[in-house]
Amino acid sequence: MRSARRAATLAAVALWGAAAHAQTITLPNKESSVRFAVMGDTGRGDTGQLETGRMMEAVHAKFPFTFVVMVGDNMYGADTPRDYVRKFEQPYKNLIAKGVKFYAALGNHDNPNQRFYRQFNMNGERFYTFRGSAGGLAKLTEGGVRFFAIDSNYLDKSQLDWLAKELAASGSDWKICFFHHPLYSSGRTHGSALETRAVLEPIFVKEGVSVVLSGHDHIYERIKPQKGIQHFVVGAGGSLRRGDIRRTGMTAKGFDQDYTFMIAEIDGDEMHFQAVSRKGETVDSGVFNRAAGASATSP
Amino acid sequence: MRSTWLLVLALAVPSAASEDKPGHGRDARKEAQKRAEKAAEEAAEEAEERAEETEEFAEKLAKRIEKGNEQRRKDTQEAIKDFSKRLDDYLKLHKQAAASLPSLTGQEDPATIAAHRVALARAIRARRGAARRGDIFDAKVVPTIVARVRAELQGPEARPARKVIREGNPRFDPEGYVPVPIRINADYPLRAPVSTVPASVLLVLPPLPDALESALSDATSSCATGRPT
Repeated sequence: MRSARRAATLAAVALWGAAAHAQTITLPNKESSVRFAVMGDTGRGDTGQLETGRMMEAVHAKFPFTFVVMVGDNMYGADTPRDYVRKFEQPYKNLIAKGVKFYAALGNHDNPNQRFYRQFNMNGERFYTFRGSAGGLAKLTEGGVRFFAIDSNYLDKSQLDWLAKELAASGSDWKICFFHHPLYSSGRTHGSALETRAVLEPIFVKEGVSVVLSGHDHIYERIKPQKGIQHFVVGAGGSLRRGDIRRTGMTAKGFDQDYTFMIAEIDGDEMHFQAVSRKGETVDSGVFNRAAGASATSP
Repeated sequence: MRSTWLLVLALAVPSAASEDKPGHGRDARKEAQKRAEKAAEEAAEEAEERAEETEEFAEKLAKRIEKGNEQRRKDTQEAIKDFSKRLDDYLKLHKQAAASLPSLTGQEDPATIAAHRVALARAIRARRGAARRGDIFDAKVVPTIVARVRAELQGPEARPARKVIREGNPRFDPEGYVPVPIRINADYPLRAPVSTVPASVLLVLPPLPDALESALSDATSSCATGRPT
């Protein structure tokens, strides 16, 4: 009985500690801006993912992001109905209950049938686009923020044609692409997907993509802007490889000591970002201007 | 490259072939028949559209083959066209199998998705119970495809492409090895990751219909990757 009470007290202290850290939000947190979170390589259903999910909830209480971008490996191993509960619905139960929407991209560990899962908002498509900013019916040619989900496992001609066409037709101020394999990464395990970069980067540069979000390497890394594009590797939402970042010269900020996710806010021409660890520590934060070629500054 | 990569035909992914919901009794049968007819029409339309693309691809490939080897050029063109026809037949079968089931819209719960996957696999198996190795990848087209893949994956400049293939391949995945048995009409194991297919390789392979995808398999370890249903 005494030990149970002690455990409960410890748990309460731990939760308080986490919540206290989570209260440090460095973003402007304006109601009028586009507020979202990014997470990757999440789907394990283990303690690391659960604790990171709880920290996302704590952050959401202070910074009410409206949607979460998932950069793939949403479901490791089997994906039976029970796995969907254990590896997704349970860890993000309270966020789902609060109406936060999740938009998923497929990773190499994902069954493509995930695209039919209503909580992933893929509408049955391997690759798709959605409008991140508020404002009536989402028309492709409106300004604001538009996201493009890409299936980097299978970049065939039809997908590449679709991507080039959609990006060209988009009149959005911010074009943000997200997919699993990072074009730039200092991860020892995988590193930069050079083949994928050779195919996608010219399209991104030509069509004015500002931000690229990816995962695959189980680390957090902000890459120094490449050809005017800001790249983030956010692959430690439920998987972690401690010490996996190697020196490459392209890291603006890296963190490989704990699970992480990122929150972001787009306010006009500025995007503010903050990477948060499972324990609520801010491991990176800053802001960059879309028009200034994505050169980020940390406060 | 030490290991040999084979191309396998993966079970196709389910497609939303119809907007209609299933009914009951005679109405349901009529609906199913309508859906099957619609699926057949769609498959025929797609086949027609793709024929032109295939023709173009076959011509491009033939141009790459040395001048003077007229017979080899013709054989290659014929092999690709025949292969494309067999794919069209498979696609028709797939669409009909999908049309016999309630369609998925992207708003499903996990139990419905899982049940659909099992039902579609069963429907496809029922329609191609007599399938044998070589029915689609016959002896004429295999050397062409293997040569194309090999050419794209050889040499130091192909190192990034070779690296991509290992990404997520069940044999090399850091998450652990999950064997993938290569059998006709087999399920792709749910626990196995999917090998990434380099875009450079996809661009030199014969064009596939939307519902089918190429996959690369490591033959030396008797495992394959494919796009699961």
